[in-house]
Amino acid sequence: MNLRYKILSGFIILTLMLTIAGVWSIYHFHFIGNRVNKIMEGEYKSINSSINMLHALEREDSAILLSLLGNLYESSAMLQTADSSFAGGLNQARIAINSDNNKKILAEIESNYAVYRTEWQNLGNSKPPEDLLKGYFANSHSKFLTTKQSIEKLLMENENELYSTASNLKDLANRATMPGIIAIIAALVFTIMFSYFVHYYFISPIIKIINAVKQNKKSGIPINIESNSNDEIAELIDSINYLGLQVKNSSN
Amino acid sequence: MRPQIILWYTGLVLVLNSIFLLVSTLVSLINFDSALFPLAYSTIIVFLFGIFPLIFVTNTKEISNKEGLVILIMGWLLSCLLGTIPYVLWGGEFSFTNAWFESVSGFTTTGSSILTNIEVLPKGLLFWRASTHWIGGMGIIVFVLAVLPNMGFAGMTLYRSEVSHLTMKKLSYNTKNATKVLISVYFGLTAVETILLIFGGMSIFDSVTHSFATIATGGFSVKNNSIAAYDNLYFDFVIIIFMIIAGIHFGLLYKTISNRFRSVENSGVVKYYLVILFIGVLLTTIYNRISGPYENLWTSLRYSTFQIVSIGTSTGFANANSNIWSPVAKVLLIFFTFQCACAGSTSGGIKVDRIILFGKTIVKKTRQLLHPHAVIPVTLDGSEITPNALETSVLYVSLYIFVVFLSTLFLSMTGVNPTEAFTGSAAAMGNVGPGLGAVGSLGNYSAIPAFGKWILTGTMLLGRLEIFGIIIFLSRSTWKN
Repeated sequence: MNLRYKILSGFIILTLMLTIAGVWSIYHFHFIGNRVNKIMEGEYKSINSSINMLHALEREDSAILLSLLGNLYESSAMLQTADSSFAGGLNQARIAINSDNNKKILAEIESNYAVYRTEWQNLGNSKPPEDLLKGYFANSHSKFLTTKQSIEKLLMENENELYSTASNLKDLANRATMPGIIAIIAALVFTIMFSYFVHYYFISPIIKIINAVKQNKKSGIPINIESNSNDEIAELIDSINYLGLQVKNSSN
Repeated sequence: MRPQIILWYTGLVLVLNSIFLLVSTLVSLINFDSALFPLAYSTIIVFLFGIFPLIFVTNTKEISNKEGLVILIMGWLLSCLLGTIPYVLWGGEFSFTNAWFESVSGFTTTGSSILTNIEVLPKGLLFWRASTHWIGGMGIIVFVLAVLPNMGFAGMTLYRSEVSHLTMKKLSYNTKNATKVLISVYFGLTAVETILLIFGGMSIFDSVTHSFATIATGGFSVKNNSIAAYDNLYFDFVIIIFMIIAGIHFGLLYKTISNRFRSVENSGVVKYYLVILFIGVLLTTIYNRISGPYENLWTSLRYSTFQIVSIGTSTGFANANSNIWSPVAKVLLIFFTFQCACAGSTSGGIKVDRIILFGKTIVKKTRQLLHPHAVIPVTLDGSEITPNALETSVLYVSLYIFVVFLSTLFLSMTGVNPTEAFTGSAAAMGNVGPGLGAVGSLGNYSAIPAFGKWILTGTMLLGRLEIFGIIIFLSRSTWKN
């Protein structure tokens, strides 16, 4: 093969190895970025909204108890704040939905909360305080617990999802870095092999030519260099051998 | 020693590997599985590494013995090393140590696995895993039976163990036709087994991968429970037949086909191989029925035949759990783990030829003690064996046992229990695959510590490259100019 193509092939191979590894790593790092984004936008937000909903629900429950104790003004304000806080959490959770299961649980929370909300809205309607307390423990509290359980279910679901996505990230990071590591090792080994070939097929014959010409000039030893390839270097060696022979013949 | 020539030939080996990687990539592409990118990238890297010396170096067909040996060992080592790339890139259970174990186990046709769940692997990667067996098996056939004889008689003596010298002469391997003949037998057997398995109802993918593993006497299955997963008598039968065939000298198989079975009939080695397998099956069946787990003779015969043939040919497939077998059956399994099948096949172990020579040497020495001046010739398949060849065989058997002992010792040091350390080492050295205990027929090597896995892979390579080759490769005189 032509000398130029031999050297070119070496550089092309080296470039290909590094480029493919680079493209692959970029692709995987992009993928990791998407996954991290999914964690931030999906699981993390959903967990946060579940915690907000739980806090709001607890405050609502405290407000109901406060109203049963007769502190109506403070409890009403507290209920309204907690209700709007719950609605905010619910809304945030809706935006952060990342799976069908999430969607199902959220629908369950909404329906349970609607029942609970109706319950505490109707709790104070013309009943004596003893009946109110009984009514709270008989109905409202159980609805509160059911809603709380569905929120905890959502929380647990997203925590598991977060753990699983984070575990996958480790594998993804490995997949993203491995081609790079392999490409670096391959490039190093390839460079050693390439430099050996360059030395053996190009530099070594040139040194041989220089030494043979020097020896001929110094002590008249005839030029006879052996070539070990079929390329331009071999042609050069043949030409120099021929030239040496011509010089020898003309001097005789 | 000419490094450029060594690089040219190892480049050729890598290009061959890249072809199989490409096929695995296509399998992955068809199934669009998660191994597509790892396989595609590995194909490119391995191909580029292989093609570069082929572009640069002016090839020569004249290679010295030393160069031949270095090419052979470098070819194996580089194949094993670059074979890890798809595994490492895919991830999962594959750390570098695990990938190296799986790759060496594949190329040396051992068939031991570190995978606790094989079935989660994508099809492309499973195909590559099976291909390593097939390439490894073909490597033994092409390099040892066809390429090495071209290096001259001296080079061949290094590998006398692999191809019995007598059989080699008989089959006149020093012809260009040899490679074609042996590869034809290899391809032919794989194709016939695949067709028969498909005919029995096995899926095409499973049939091809299991045929690769059978003909190469490897043992990698695509199922967690190996052949036991199918629980199919027909599959058991087909695989038993092909395991037995794959354990016979490939050249002899070719001669047998062309001579209408006369060659096998006349071969004492093959007769011994078949008779000893028959005795093994008979004893295992009886003992597994009397003091083993099987309630009737038929079941005992089915499982005993499969497992004894599987171990006795160094394949390593399983259709039953041999850990629950009777002690006598387990001892027989250990015997076959050491012996394995005939030289000139893809089988590992000490090999039947050497066992016969070992026995004949003992008889000869005993007779010589009685008649010190008697000239007692030792023959194998009608040809006389030189005292030097006999000595080499005996030395090989001794070295083999010593390596198994060393490997057992090192494995025990890592905390592996003695049964698993011993049977695992023997199975690695014989390129068999399963041992007993956790590394048994339906087990795996995942629990072995990382250092132990490196010990086992070293043992597998020593077993495949026949100890002497490695010793010569590592000796200083090989590397002196």
